[in-house]
Amino acid sequence: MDSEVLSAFRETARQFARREVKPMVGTEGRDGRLDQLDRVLAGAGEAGLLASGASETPDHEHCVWGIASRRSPRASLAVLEEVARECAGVATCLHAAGLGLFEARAGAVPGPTAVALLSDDWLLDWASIDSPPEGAVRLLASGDGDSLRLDGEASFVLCAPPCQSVVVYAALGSNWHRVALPLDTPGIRSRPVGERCGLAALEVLHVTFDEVRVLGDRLLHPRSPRPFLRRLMLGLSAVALGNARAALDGARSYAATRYQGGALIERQPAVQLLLGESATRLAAAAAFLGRAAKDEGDDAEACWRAFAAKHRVVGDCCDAVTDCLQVLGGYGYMEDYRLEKRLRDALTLKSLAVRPDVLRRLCAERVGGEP
Amino acid sequence: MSVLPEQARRTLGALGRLMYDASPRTIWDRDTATLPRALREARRRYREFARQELAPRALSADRDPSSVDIPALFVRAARLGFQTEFMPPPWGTLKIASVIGGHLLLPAALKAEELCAACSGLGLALLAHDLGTGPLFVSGDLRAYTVMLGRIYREIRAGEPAIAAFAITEPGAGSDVEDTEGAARARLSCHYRRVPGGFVLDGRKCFISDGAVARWVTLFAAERGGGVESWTCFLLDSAMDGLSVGRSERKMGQRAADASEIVLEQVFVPDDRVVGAVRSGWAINRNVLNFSRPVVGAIALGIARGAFEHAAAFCGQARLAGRRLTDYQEVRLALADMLIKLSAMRATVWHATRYRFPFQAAGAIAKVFCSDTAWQVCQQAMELLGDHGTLHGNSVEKAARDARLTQIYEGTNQINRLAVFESQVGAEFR
Repeated sequence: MDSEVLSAFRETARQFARREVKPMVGTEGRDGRLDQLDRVLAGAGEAGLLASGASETPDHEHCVWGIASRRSPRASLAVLEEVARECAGVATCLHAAGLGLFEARAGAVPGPTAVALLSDDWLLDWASIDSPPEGAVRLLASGDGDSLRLDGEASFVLCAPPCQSVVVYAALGSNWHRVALPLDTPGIRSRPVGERCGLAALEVLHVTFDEVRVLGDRLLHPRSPRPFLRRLMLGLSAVALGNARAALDGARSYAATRYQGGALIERQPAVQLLLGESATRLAAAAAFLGRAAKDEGDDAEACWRAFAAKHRVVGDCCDAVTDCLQVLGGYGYMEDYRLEKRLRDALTLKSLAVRPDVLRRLCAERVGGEP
Repeated sequence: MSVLPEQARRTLGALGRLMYDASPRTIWDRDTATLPRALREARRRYREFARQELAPRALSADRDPSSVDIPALFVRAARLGFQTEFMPPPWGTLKIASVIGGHLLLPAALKAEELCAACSGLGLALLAHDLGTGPLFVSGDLRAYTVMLGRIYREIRAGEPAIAAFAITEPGAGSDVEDTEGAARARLSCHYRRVPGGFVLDGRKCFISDGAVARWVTLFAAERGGGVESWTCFLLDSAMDGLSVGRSERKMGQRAADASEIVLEQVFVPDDRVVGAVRSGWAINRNVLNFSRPVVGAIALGIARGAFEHAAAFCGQARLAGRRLTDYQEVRLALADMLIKLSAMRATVWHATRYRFPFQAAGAIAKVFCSDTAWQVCQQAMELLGDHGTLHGNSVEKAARDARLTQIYEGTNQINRLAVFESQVGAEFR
């Protein structure tokens, strides 16, 4: 992707985030004015950043995980990173909605947002990505190629509120089947998973399927979840990076204006070390993510690099955020400075979507010669 | 064919079996058995109280701190003798055996671990009282000890929530008051001036644990125009004219314990409320921190233990691809690693309490090591629970938020590392 085009995406996202997201986060409440989230997401749609399943529009090409991202994920990652600088929760909403569109295509399910869904209780190794492990998947399909019946459940389904539809991968024998369904389909019940540590703007659902009949028009072309998983990992990494970069900016600003022992905090070697270490971690994380984003296609190597990025980048970003919070001392721990929100978001990103020990196992398996 | 330890033990003779302990007892039980009898009993009582009174309220108190009546909780803890442990009977509940055995600080560390394993927010709300009365104890001022502390304990024995708070931190000098070099150039805002019969205090203190519920406050102020060399410790009554509570902070964790601003506007403090000598406040403050930092280490240990216990229980029940999580070697490695860290933390804290009087390096070492390690353990616990770890109802994300504060209060860990160096200049560092 041309760097000018990439810069334009980044700039659009930055302006949107400063104009719409920043005031919502503000300093009120633990996670900002979440009652304004609908308005902010609507603004993201108008700015062409938020995917919508409602209809085919030109925006679908360039929104997060729009059609253009099939050539390169870099523009989507740039947008997610920029929005995460103001609020990682809102960025994750764009990510989830985009993935829904990536899976279902516009028009397949009712808008304005869709959910991409994969519960991680089946993800054990590389083999399980291409073929569902027997007895491990909690969402099962039965039937033939023209219609399916879904039974089971899926937890920690990510979506941008108000969620209206769901995309699921269900196991049928040794194959994955993709299905796009409105959430009000008979037999589907959904509820929020409950109060969470961070990413409060993101809606996370527990969805159950009880004898859900799926007819042909809701069946998507069967494929491996690799492309979806690769984008899921890359996007979460980009959100973590944006969140951490903003934390570093906040810590540097604070250190440049506050005093300790009669001198600016930024002159204290202990503070310089914290800031320097954070900056170094983020530079490494950005390089790692940048390399993973360069891959064309969704082959095993590209997929592995995305998993490795989620493992490394999100962890390093969390470490950077906690060091940045430390620069502010007691003030960093208070809600007013928003560093503690960034740390809660960073912690949540570490565990989101794939268990960290599974990520480690996947990386270890790769070293052993797979995939 | 694998042979489990207990099976292997049975192949030994009687003496061999006696010396080979392969019983499935918890580390908690084994560690408790190493304590003198009075402390063994105390540790069990702390745990029982924490499980009955704190654990059931932990999540609701975190979500809505105002839902818990801290003074009432204080009174219930006081009935068990937990809030009067700096004076011997009949005035207080100091464990004489622990003093004779050279374990002056160990009861406080045991209490902190147990309370904070259940809920460090509520735990801090109870423990901050010991910090508040600390200057009366460690100043070596007999009048402060017998008259001032005696009065507070008398009120507590009478069933009153006579909570004490410790006030050193100032808005413009956060860590300065915990560090020698910083203090020398600190911009202090809390001052006193002498007047007939006493002192008049002005200024603000911030981040004061229990500041909103305290009846008594040990507060440090500098002479007008002076620095920390003029710091003097005063015992203030929260009902004094001119003393008010400002904003209570909105914190990331340990939310059940308030961190409040104390505002002083022309507060008259009589001469008999000076703790120690005038201008001895800096020394008292430093020694209070020497005593309290190992307890902060124990708070961190308790938080990490709570996270570990939740994670171990979850991994014993939850299934991944049809197998229990504890059937996976990666999970076993992580759980074992957490238990190793907990043991190292406890060893560090208990070792710090073995010194007759805790010194600067000992306190700072325990505080830094345990708080940094607790942060790691809590993150491991969150990771073991996966997505479930981010849910408030599973408690481990709360533990992580709670643990993070232990790296900051009583001096950031950077300040504490410098305190270790400062303490040992002339010894290890020449």
